[in-house]
Amino acid sequence: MGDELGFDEFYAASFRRLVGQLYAMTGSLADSEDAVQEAYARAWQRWDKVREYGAPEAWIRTVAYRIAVSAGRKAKNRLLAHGRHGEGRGFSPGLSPDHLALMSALRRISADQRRVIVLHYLVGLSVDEIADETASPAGTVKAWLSRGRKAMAPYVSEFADTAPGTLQTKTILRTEAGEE
Amino acid sequence: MPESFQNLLSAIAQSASASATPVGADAARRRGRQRSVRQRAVACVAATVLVGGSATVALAVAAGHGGTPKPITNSGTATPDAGSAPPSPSAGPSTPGSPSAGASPGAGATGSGMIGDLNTIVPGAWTSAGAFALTPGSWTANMARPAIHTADRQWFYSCHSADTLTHLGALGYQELTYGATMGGSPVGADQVLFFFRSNGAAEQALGTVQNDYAHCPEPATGVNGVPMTGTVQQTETLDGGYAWVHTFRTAQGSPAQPADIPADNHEFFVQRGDALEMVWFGGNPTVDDSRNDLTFLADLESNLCVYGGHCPATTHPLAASINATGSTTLRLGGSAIEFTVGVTNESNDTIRNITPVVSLGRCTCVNTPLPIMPPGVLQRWDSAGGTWKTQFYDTEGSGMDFVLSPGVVQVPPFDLGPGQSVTFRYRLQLDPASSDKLPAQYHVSNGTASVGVSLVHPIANSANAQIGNASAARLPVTVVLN
Repeated sequence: MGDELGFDEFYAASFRRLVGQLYAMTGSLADSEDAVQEAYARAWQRWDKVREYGAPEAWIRTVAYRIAVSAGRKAKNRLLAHGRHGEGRGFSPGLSPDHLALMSALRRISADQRRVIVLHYLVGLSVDEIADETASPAGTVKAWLSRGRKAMAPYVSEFADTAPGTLQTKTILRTEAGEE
Repeated sequence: MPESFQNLLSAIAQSASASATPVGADAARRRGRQRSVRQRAVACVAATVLVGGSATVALAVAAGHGGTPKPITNSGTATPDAGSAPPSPSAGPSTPGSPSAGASPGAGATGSGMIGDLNTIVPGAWTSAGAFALTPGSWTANMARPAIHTADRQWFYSCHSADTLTHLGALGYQELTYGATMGGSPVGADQVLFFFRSNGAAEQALGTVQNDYAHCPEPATGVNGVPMTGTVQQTETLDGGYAWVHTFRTAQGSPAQPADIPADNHEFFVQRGDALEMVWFGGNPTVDDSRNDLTFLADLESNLCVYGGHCPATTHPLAASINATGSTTLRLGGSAIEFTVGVTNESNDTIRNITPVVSLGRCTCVNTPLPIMPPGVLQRWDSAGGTWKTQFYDTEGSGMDFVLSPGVVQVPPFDLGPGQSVTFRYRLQLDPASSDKLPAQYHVSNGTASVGVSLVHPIANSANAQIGNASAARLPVTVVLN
């Protein structure tokens, strides 16, 4: 397996960004770091092919997301913990009340809805691109986006038009700030 | 597109990105190579993976674990005290490698009783890589010094959904990871010290671990969809410390592919003071070798007892004995000799899954290249049935197969409580036609031999694990012709 230099450059350029995206999807920095690191390890196993896809970052994100949401595993973190070699980790990005409120709102919607909202609003993917990445029909993606926006409407004013009767004037209703 | 929402989301992601700690591309490559070599199922997940809608995600906005005794950095990672000597990367923490090194409390002593502190690395509490069980001396620490963590994760076999810190009530943990190559494959190890609010809390946590290992059901299917059987086998115990081998096998007996845990795991737990230590080896069947478990448990306990508690004796708490009840002369075609085999638990803990293996030692009475005991019949008295039961005639040759071979189990395994003993009655008779059963150039003559007993932990689908070196006894016998 070759091209260590290319892999290193890709890792250095994308690791933090992908952790941020995963964090928005999962809400756990620790799990996001572990999942992304593990995804890189899996990418290296087949780096030639992953590189050929032309979108290795999307590949990492997809695999990392799958790892992060795999539930019901035994000792799920053991190997991941071993893989990360323990050098510094933790969690406390220093979120503002608005950030906390947004995370709280994201927590209230389904994992699928949260994923597509992050892919759409944070990563900037189109519906068709999200459909490719999630291997879901475009219609399903649209439905997830719509339902996610609607579910978050009580807490996010921009989405208020998707939920009748909401009159928020701020992006995030501060009354939700700090809710766990 | 709602710009404000997008900006907020972006800010959150950037904040998380800034807090992320890249482990490094090299570590990812190393990890990838480990996975490749082990041929673990890394489900070929390309960008076409369909993610199930039922996935559950734990969203915890502020994941810092409460109750840490000292302030930690906002990343949840604390820096070891400046005065702590950093361990050597190649040899693990700078601590004596074994109890015999002289720097640990003596056998049977009580530790200093230092109060364990999550944020203080105590080099003497760590067992060096050089003392690792199974070791060919090639274990190398992946880190310059132990790391301190408060972020929760699931560290060990459990039937509970909560991650380990929550499940055990731990404040956090210190961790060192290691790598080695065994049997041509990379293997990994972790040494983890969990810290608790009190000694009692740590003791309770060890009890929880024991209970989990004894009772939790195993997943029945690997990540590749192939049915598998998981086996948790306690291989050794010493003064409150436990060793387990945890394996996953397919119906064909080959290593299975459980999710995110190797098919072969060898784990040790010891507790002293307010600290609970876990050492885990994983990667390939090489790590299942349990012959050094007792020594390794003693090493771990002798180092961890800097936090208090009992530093174990190095002698084995199980004693085996073998005594003749009459003549020890075996005559070809003559009557049988009788003897008893005793097993005593001299420790304060219940020792589980024990069985004695009675073997026939080499005999000077044959002129074969390998002087194996002439053919005969070994029987054990079955008090329940009131009959003699024929046992596997287990002759000793050139190695340890006679005691370690899978299936060499003459007595159903049993548990012994503290101070308990059990005695078995045997008889041995030699075949009158022993010489006739040898090739023409060989024959039986007068000579000496012995009957031995070794104590083992039988392990399903694997070699027996011998219980220490002291737990064997031998009865000399004389062989005479008619």
